Amino acid sequence: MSKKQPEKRVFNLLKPVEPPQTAWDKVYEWLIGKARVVILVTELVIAVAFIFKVIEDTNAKNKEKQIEKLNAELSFYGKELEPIFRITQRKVADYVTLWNGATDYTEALQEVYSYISNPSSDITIRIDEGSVSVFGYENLAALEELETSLKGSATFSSVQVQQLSLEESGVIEDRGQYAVVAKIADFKRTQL
Amino acid sequence: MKIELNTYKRKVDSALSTSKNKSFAIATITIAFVLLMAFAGIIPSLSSLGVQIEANGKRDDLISKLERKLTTLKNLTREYNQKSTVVNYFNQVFPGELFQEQLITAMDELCTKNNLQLDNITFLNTEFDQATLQEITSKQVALSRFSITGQGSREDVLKLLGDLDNKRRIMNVKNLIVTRKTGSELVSDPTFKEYRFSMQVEIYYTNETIDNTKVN
Repeated sequence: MSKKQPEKRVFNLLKPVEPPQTAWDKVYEWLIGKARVVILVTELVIAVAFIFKVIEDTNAKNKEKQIEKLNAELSFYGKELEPIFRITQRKVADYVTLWNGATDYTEALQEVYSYISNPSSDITIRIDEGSVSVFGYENLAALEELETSLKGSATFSSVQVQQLSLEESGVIEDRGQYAVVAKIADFKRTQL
Repeated sequence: MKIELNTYKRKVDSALSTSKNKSFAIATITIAFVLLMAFAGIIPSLSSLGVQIEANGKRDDLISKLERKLTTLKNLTREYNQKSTVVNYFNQVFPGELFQEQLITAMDELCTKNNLQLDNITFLNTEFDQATLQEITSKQVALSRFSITGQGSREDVLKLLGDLDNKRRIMNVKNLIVTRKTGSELVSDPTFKEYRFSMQVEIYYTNETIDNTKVN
């Protein structure tokens, strides 16, 4: 009897012969390869979006409660107090407008009187719409002094002797009826 | 039908026989699948999240505006209460009604204080002037005009005019005539009632009243 030869280990380095892949094999390979990665990424994105959506929804509920609370507080102020404040603010604005547009003729009148050297002079002073008119019966020297003083004053402008008439007796005495008109430069009050 | 399918299958197999065509087909199918996942899953979930984030942003804006308004109103209430004396005084000098009687009394007192004789006080029609006034103020402001005549010394007339010009209740002197009396004995001492005066004064009020008890 012959001796059994020890079995030789043989490494088959050849690629195993496989049957050709069918279409379904290819689809299956694709599904477990590339498609699985795509599906995994999609699921991750949707899960993260879902988590954030839950957080945002919770925030939204809290913010709605906060808005409700603020509206409740404001409704008291809005109905009762806000109209009062608005009226007061409007009144203050109107008051400032009216004050700043109002007249202050005291200084102008005082100044005109200061130029009347004869306190017993027959004189009428009229102030209207920012202009002053002085009517009187006086001697011509005093009239000239009045006119010069008014022209030299910064308070008045456009000073004119509009009328001057002398009667026969007036010519002798050098006296006549006169009307002097001037514009008051600044007749508004000190602005608020 | 089966023959057609076999024919179609053979055509696809022959098209995918080269590795280039095979890679191209796999890439196309993968991209199509990614787009499908994006449109069916990712975009709706992200857009829903985006919508909620935008809505929350608007809620935040609204909350900050409401908080600002509330803070302003609380501060105004506190300030209104702290300055209630000033506010009450202001409502007296710029009242919600004309208070004609009070006005007549006030003018009488003013003339008496300045040693003047008040002869007459007349309230005038101001229909035309209301429209002109409301061009520069709010529609709630109304005006009344009155004329006063009286007599006194030159200095006292000047004092009255000064008081009117500085009075907190705005008394706007529209025109003024001061005449030395004729026929009187001419004296140089200006302390006698030797002047007649006439002036038209405009006074203002509003058409609304304020109930301050609600603030307090």
